[in-house]
Amino acid sequence: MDYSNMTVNQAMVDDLVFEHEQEFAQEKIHHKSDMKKLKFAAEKRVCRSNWKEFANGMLTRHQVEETAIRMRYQECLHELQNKQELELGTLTDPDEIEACKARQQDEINIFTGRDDIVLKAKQQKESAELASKQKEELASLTATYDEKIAALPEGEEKDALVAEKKNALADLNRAQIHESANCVVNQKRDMTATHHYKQKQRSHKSSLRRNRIIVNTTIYIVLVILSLVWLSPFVLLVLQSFRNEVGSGGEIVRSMSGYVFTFNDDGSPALGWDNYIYLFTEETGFWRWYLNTFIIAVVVAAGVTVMTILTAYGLSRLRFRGRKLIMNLMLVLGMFPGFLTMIVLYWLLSWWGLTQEGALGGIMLVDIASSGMGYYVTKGFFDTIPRSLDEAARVDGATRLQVLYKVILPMSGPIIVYVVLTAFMGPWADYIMASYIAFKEPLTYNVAVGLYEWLDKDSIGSMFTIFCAGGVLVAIPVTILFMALQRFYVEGVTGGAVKG
Amino acid sequence: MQTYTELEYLGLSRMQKAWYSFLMFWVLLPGRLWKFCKFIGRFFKKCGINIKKDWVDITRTFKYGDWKTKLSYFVLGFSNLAHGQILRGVVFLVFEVVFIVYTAIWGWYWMAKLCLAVPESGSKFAQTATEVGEVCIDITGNGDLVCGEETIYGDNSLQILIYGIASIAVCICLLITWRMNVKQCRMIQENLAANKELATNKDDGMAIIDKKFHVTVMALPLIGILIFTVMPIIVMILIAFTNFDLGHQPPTNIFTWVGWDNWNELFTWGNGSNTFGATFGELLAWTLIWALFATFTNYFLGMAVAILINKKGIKLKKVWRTILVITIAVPQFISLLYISKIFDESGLINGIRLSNGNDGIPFWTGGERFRGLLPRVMVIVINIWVGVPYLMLITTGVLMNIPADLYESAKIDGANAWQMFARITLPYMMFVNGPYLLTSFVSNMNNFNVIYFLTGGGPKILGENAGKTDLLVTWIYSLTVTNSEYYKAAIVGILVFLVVAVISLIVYQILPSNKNEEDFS
Repeated sequence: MDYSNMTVNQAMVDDLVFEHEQEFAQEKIHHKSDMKKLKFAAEKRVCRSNWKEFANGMLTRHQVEETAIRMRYQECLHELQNKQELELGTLTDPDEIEACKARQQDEINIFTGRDDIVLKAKQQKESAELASKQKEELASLTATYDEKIAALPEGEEKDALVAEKKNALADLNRAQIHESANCVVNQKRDMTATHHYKQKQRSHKSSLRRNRIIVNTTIYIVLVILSLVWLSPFVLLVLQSFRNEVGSGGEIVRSMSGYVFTFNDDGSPALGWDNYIYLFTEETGFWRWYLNTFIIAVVVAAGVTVMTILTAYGLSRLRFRGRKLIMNLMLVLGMFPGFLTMIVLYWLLSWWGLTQEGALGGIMLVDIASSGMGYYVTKGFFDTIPRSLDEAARVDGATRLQVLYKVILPMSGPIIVYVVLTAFMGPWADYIMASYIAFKEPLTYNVAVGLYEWLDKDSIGSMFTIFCAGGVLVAIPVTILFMALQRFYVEGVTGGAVKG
Repeated sequence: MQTYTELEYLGLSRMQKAWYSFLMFWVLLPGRLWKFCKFIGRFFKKCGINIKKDWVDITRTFKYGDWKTKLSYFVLGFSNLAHGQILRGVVFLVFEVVFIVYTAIWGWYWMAKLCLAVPESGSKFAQTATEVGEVCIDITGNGDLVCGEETIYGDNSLQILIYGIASIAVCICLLITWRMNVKQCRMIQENLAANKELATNKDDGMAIIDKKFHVTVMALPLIGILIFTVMPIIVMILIAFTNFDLGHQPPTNIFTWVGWDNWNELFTWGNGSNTFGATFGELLAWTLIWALFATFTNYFLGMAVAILINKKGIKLKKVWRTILVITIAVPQFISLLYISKIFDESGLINGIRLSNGNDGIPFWTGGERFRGLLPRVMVIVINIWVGVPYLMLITTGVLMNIPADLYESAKIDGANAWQMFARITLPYMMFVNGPYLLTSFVSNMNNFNVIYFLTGGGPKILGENAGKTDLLVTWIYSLTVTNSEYYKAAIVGILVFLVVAVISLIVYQILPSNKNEEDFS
């Protein structure tokens, strides 16, 4: 294309440079390559003064083209400036000179690609006009109402008119806010259509691309550090559980240590399965506790699920007198510290024979009986099931019981899994209640109580690594179960628990 | 103070609006309190009117009913049975028999003893403690006396308290059943008079699973809650007014009512820093500080991690999340106990320091000057380790719901990353998670596991068996388990409830999600 007679401005220069950058990126050509394209450019677009550099193969056609257009741009700029000087010289009237100067400044701005300045000035004028117009409207409305109000005597009519004035002002204010918001939005849209804005975006994007790489790398480093920090206790736990160090007297050292890794006398790492073998062979009661906890967990999971579903269905779907009262009551009951009930319940259960030897039954009863108070997440989930399904079923003649197990339950798979999962995992970690109810009766301990006792001051010296091994054995099945059902847990937590 | 009209208020800046709302809250407070008092007055008046209506209802039903109705006032369910409603009649009759039998055989005994009087008072229902006395009996029959010890079982105060409350509850149930029965009679009379059909047994059977399904569904959970939560709480509140501690433990000893003496003991701060009141004050302050730090550090750090993982362009999102979520999966007692042993005096970190020639750091016993500061800081830091994955899960869910065009339009306006976070992300998250933060604050105040497994209550240098990192709940635990001072535990429990209730009420009023659902721009 021959630029020698075109009127070129900054916008065209910028667009051409941008287009070349795109082509560079797409074709991936470097400065000194692609002789065929250079030849093509030489035949069509070269400007005389660059011929020598071009012939030496030092420039690409892009650079030649850009140089040509930049030179033409300078020529056009000079032409414009000369024209403006001439025009200014012909005027004599100072007002006209001012107006002409303003107009010429606008022309220069558009030429150099700063059309946003021109647009901004226009928009400021528009906004000022709009603001003053709105103020006038507001003032006139207030004035008319004030006249009418002042004319009336005291009484009901006056009060009614005052209220009407307040409403009308509020309405007008709302309409004006709406109008000015529209105006701002339109102005913003027009601004984004200017060339200068687009140019800013383009340069912004390329610098963004550079920044993003740096930011992402930092984030990856931070995430790796976080993962190390979060995983390290578990890694240490597993390592400690494999510690198989032989002490000076020839017996195995099982206490806490000031090191993670140690080596035997012959240089091999002191690792071994000894702690686990201890758990399997010696009479520690560990497997009894494991079985206890498992039984409690299964029964409690079943019971709690039933109670929670019943309560959540009742409070979510059914409307009865006292529903709000029950919900508020449960909220208030939840504010008492949970341990208080434990004290009284221990005595009660001991009179019924459900403590110490019968502690399994006691724990299960206490866990299941008051689990109705944990209905919140499930109720939140049930609330999201559309009522139209309920109503369709009832129109077809279903009783409420049938609605529960035919409509609601099949749709609540995720939340039921969530409830079962959390109810199952509870007893494995429950120390307070289990230790209180099964007080001093090792046969009915659960794993938490048993393992905690190993870390007593007296026995920690000989049981610490066994504790680690036991901990790993307890943690593995629970963790695997949790990981497998993680999706449901996340759905329960994010869906039901957070809705305000 | 200057009051603004609505238009002027709209024109204020954000800071001015907040300051104005704050001032207006205090200005309007007396008015609101007065309105609240009037509301309570009206509530009692409504109660009185309802009671009067009930009374009129009962007497009229008796006056105008036929002989079957009048008989039903004494034999519950008779009217239903006589009119063919077998199901209802049988239920009422069975309830009445069970309640009356219980009260006659056991109930009256427990309720009578409930005054928990001591023997000195001479009342017929005073308690007697268990005594071990010497008794000499003549076994062989030829005058030789063999003496031995015999335990004479007296009254068990706690049993009296608990069963007494249960018996009172049974009486209340009887009253309610009787009232329902009267309503039934009235319904039957009215239906007969209007020649309408009475509900048949088949209808009743269907109603259990349909119209009255809420009764079926809520019956079991509510009974469980009443027996296992409400009743213990009521008993504990009553224990706070007794002197139930180590020296007064049943069944060997008895305890009695002491009224407000315990509360006086709580509020005497006079003699130095080891009194009950002073300990309570310090623990309350620490509990609130702990809950504040625990909730908000976890929340913001969890949100930061969620934003990091959620950023466009980060790969392996699921891997990062799974690694963090393992913390939730492993039972807390294992991880917390192990971590507490890592920082122990003979644990891992101190061992490494000692082997390098440095001194050990007393993580859990605190330094010489500020005993308790280091354990408290450690507890807060480790709680971050425990809590952030959970918060990350929650905030991820909310973050993904923020409409993306908000961010795009902000970028067009030239906002940088920090401004976008502070103006878009943060207000949105606080709005959605406001109630959750309140619940989280309350549950952190009662967070037993973290404190107990990490420090066991910290260096136990405060009075009344409390430690520097003890929360109020762990203090309750040590009061009961190690000292058996049940009445102190009860008082602390009631106070915890009051504190939590007040905080919840105040914060709930302030929360923006309470005021305007949509407008949080």
